[in-house]
Amino acid sequence: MSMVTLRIQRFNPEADAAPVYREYTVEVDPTDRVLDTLNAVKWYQDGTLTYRRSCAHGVCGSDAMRINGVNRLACKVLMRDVGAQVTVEPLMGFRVIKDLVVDMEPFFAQFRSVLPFFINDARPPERERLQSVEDRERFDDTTKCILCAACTTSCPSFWANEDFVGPAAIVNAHRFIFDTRDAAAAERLEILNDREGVWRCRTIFNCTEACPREIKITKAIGEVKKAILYGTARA
Amino acid sequence: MSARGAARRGGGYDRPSPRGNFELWSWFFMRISGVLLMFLALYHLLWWNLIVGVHHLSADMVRERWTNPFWRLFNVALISFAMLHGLNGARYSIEDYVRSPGARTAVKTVVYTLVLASLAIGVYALLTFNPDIPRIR
Repeated sequence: MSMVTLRIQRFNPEADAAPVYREYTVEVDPTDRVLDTLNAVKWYQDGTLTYRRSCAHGVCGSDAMRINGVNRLACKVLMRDVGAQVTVEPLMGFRVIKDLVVDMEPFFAQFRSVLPFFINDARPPERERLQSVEDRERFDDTTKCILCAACTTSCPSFWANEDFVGPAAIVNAHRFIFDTRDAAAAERLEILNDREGVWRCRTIFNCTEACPREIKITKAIGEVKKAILYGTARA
Repeated sequence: MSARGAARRGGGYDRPSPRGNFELWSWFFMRISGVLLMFLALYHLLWWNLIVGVHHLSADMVRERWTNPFWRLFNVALISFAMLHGLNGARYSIEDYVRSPGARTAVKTVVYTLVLASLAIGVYALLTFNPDIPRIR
């Protein structure tokens, strides 16, 4: 066990004019996660500390936050990897509702704008819509997104311009654009062929580095750009 | 966006009506001009600075090169791709960071005017250079 100092950005809209940093000293094991440390603060020191978490196993995407300046899932980062002084802040680019909880609605609105669902108006076959292993592999990487927003909120284009659709929405469009069973690729490519669509991406790779699921996001965005150039996802 | 897309959309950012493929072609231009500039600028740099060497550079050499139409074309391509590639990069930065529409138009007007005027002067000089002017001693 060792002692660490957690410096957390706090903001209570009913009391604070601006966010403030508060420090908490917590006893941790090296194999504790940052989420365990936040829980220790909330449960034993300050019950007003507010943050989102749900599954606590890196699958639900609820607890994305800035840990020592880097977008991470608090449930996937071990204390031994962050040192004895840890700064925890909310994701950048969203309105802070309270402490580490941000308003994700603009993020989900951008997500919905790319038609992130299966579209095929053709009469369904008697059994399932078959797909080869190779065709499934084409979009396998982008099926892994958990909508934690770590990528979008690490993107300087998004910080500068909240109208940018953002890497997460493009990743989820990619998942359907390159699915041979889906019939609305052209529609999605048309939506993304916009100044605030894929063309706002400057290929900075922050999204790829931030993704807790290790999705090759910049590569996926590049594939969508190429599909717009060629006019088809089937090239 | 098609009517079906609009009907299906769940209420994301309301995008303005489609503005054609300008952004697509400007992205494509950046890739092509970037690749070409690697060769054009690298050759230019290597030839004049390392192979010829700045100490041996003379007006006569420039004049001699200029008489070959290939090198005139080479230099027109070099300055055009370099200036337009840079201008488009500047446009990206302006659109990212100058948020007020009025200020954005003003900054773009100044930058476009400066870059395009420099490009015009450069190309004009390359195409109308008179090799017969007397040498300056």
